Amino acid sequence: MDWLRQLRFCLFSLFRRRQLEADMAEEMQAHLDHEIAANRAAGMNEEEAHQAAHREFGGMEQAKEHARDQSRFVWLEQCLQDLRYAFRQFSRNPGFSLCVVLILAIAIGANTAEFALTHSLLIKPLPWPQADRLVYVYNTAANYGWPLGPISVPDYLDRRDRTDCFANATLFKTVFFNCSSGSSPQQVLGLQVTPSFFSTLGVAPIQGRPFTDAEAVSGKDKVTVISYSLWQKQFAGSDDILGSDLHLDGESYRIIGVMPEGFLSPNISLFGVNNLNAQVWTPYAFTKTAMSDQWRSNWSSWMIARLKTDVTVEQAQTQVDIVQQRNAARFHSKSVSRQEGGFGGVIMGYREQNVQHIRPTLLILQAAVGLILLIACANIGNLMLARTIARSRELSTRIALGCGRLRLARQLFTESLVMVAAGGALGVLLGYWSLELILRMAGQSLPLGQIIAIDNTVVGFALLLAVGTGVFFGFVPLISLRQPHPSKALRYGGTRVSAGKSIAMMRAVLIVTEVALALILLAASGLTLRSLVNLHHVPTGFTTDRILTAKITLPVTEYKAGHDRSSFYTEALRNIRALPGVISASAISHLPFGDESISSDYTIRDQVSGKSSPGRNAQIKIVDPAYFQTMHIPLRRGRFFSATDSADATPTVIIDRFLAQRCFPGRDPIGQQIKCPDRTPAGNRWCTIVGVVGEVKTASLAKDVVKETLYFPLVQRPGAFIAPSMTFVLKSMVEPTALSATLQKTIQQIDPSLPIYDVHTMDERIADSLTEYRAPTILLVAFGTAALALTIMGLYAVLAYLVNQRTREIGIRIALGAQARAILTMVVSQGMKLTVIGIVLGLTASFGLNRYLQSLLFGITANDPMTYIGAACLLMGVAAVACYLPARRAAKVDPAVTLRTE
Amino acid sequence: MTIMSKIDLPQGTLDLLVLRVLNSGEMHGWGIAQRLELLSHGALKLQEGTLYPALYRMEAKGWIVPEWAQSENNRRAKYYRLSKIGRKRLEEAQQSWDRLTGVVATVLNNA
Repeated sequence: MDWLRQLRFCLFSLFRRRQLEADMAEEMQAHLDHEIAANRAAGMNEEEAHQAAHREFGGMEQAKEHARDQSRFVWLEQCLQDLRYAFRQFSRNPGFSLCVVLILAIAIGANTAEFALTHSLLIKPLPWPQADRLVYVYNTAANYGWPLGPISVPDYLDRRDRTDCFANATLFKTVFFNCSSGSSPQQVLGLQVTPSFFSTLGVAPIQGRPFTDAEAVSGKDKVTVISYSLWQKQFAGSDDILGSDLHLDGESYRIIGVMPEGFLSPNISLFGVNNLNAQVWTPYAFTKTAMSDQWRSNWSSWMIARLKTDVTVEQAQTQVDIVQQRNAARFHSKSVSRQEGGFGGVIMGYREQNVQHIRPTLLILQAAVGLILLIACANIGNLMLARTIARSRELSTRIALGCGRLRLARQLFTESLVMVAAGGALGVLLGYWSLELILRMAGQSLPLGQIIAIDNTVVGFALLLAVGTGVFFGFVPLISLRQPHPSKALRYGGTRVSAGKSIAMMRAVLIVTEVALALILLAASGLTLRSLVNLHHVPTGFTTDRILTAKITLPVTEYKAGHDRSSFYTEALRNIRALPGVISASAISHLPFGDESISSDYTIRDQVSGKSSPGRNAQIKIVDPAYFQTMHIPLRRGRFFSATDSADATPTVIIDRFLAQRCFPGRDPIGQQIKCPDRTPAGNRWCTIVGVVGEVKTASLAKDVVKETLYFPLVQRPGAFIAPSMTFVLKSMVEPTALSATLQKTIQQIDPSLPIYDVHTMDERIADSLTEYRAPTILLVAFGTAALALTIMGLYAVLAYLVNQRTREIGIRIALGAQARAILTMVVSQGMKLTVIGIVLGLTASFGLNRYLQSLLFGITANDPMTYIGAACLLMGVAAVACYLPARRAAKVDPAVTLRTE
Repeated sequence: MTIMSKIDLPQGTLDLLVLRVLNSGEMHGWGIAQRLELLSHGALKLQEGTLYPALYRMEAKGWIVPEWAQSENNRRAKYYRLSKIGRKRLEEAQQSWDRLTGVVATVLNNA
């Protein structure tokens, strides 16, 4: 209990410090006075009495010091003292402290942002219960260049019913609805889903209910479940939302449920990543025809399934393969293209599907920021070492004056800790901002972009980094306290004490490492930068200059007949072409770099022999005749579509050169006939080939064209392949985006309820498609620059200190006749020697490591010598500048000044 | 005559002595030092660096209670007196001291 009282006493003393001091002074003085009085009583005179009393007393201040210690928290007050001293040091050396704080902040910020990405995408569980059981089930036609594609309804039914591995499964389609509830018509992203959608994902609506099987029937399917944000925005979160109506595509849907806030809806598109969250879900009604074998090739929907517990992806894959083999046996004769194409089913985990493309990038980046952290640590280590050496005289003096070594060590530790704490805090802030920046620039293109965020784990990681570096650097200055006798430092005078051999070696090692790491990063960013440039120069087969594209969907209820649709488009295009600033305009059903094409098998009939032979599988595009001219797609043979290809005329088709070379090698394809069945009567006719156009890249600049394309004129097949949406393509005289408002108005003059959406220039689309190459490039270049900056700062700072140390020596040299040039050379060569060693090391390491980069590169090998030479030269040049500045200062040293002063 | 400094006199023992002195009545710091010197026949000449820390320590623990008053020289001085707890601690300390010395003496005699 004594200690409790003591604690209380010390606490009170904190607030009564001044009073206690006064009391103590008076008490001691009283003691002295009593002693003096006693001495005088014993017969001494005034002076002797005083002297004797003081002699008896001993050191008053030391007594006071010991006495004070009883009434306070010694360690706390010493800590505060250390902190005060640390801050005083900073204000005396702002440059140094700022350097350290900034360097650390950059490194920790980069690591925080990168870890947030890696954690959110690769580690954190997805926002559905037991999401690791969720898989995508695709169709594949690997030989046609379609490794992963959507599936058809019969495929879904087979895989759901004839296998044993799925606990639940769902099929869905992405749909863009014209929503006319609310003030103006807008496009709303929706999904048509089977009723099992909600149970497969494991999330139920917070209000209302999901669909029943009875509602997944044509005619009874005008019900919808809406998202939380739609409820808040369109309906102001009203309480009687259930039972209200939502107008989609001109029809009335009854709202029967609302999903929870933040519900993540699966949504994929093969062209880039689409991070728009679905707002409405409607039932996917399977018609009898949809479920029949005729629709087996209609690959238009996506399947997600939940694996049973204990079933692995491989086991499920085996079962799906068995189903596919049985089907192949059944349909053998009918589909040559399936076998040729390597048709099959592929199962992929949900997370896997989303991150497989980005994972290599993320891992490379993780390594890159790790390197950055190492460089930063090397830098700071160097700086701290240099400064500690400079302070050795001060420290030795303090030791000689009686400061305990432990106390001094604690103080130095506190100084480092404060700097590192500031750097760490700033770093977390920087990390947060840079993540925001990354998300704003590329969030749409990152998979699962909605769930990338800095959460507690990331903050914890950042704090751990900061604490780790703090503790590590705290110990660096303590090296100088090793020596048992401070006399050595005191004897050599001035702050120009040169470091011991081991410290000089450590410094050299640190600089060499810095330079090597910087070279690795620079070389990597150089490689990715060059591949990006290569990609930009890949010819697409069409022009991208000032082309504006915009999508439109005609609701089926208002534009039932194909004739309605084609007349709408004809009128719209006529009006658009009359707009000022439009050079030419056209429309296409599936824009390259815009939509996945529908594909279908086709058959060829030889004109001469009349024999028909099956072709393969081709992409089908419906176009307005002016398409090829608008897009500058070259005509190789024959002619483009024209007014003569009207609805009643002979059906025509234009093929691309790829098909021509494949199916008509060495012959003239013009006049031959192709049939491409769809579900309309028009689809079953033989079409005559009237022209051959150049191939066009459709999804990726990096990949070659592997699939042929068939173009059909809009008026002849307006309802083909159930595609009520078309993309308008405009070639503009001026900046294309200026036309988008006028375009919208023109459309609305014809039909006021139709919005245009997905408005982008062709350049934007192509740039978007390069995201998987661009994102890592941007990041590597950014980190490479950071590494370069850190290296320069490090080199400069260390050389500046070295010059400072040797000022006296340099002064002597100059006084003895050394030329400025000689001094310059001396200093610069000191720095450059280390740089060169670092570059050589870095090159060696690079050669070993860069093959991991190969998957991100295009048109350039990972060992491209030009890039390495360039990186090395850049580093040398920059290092030379960093060395030159302190060297110049050295050469300007005035010997008279330095020799006179310390 | 040996002059005891802080190192020689164990901390607990100094506390015991001071408490014993204060048992007879309240006293200020100089008075305690004088009394101890007197009682020990001049052997105990405490340095102020030893005495005052001990006094403050015991004050913090609540064993002695300070009070300002006029001394015999008409000088304002800080007087200390034993608290109840202090009295108890004094008894405990005295008993353990007696026990300790008894044991040590026994061992030394019989060894």
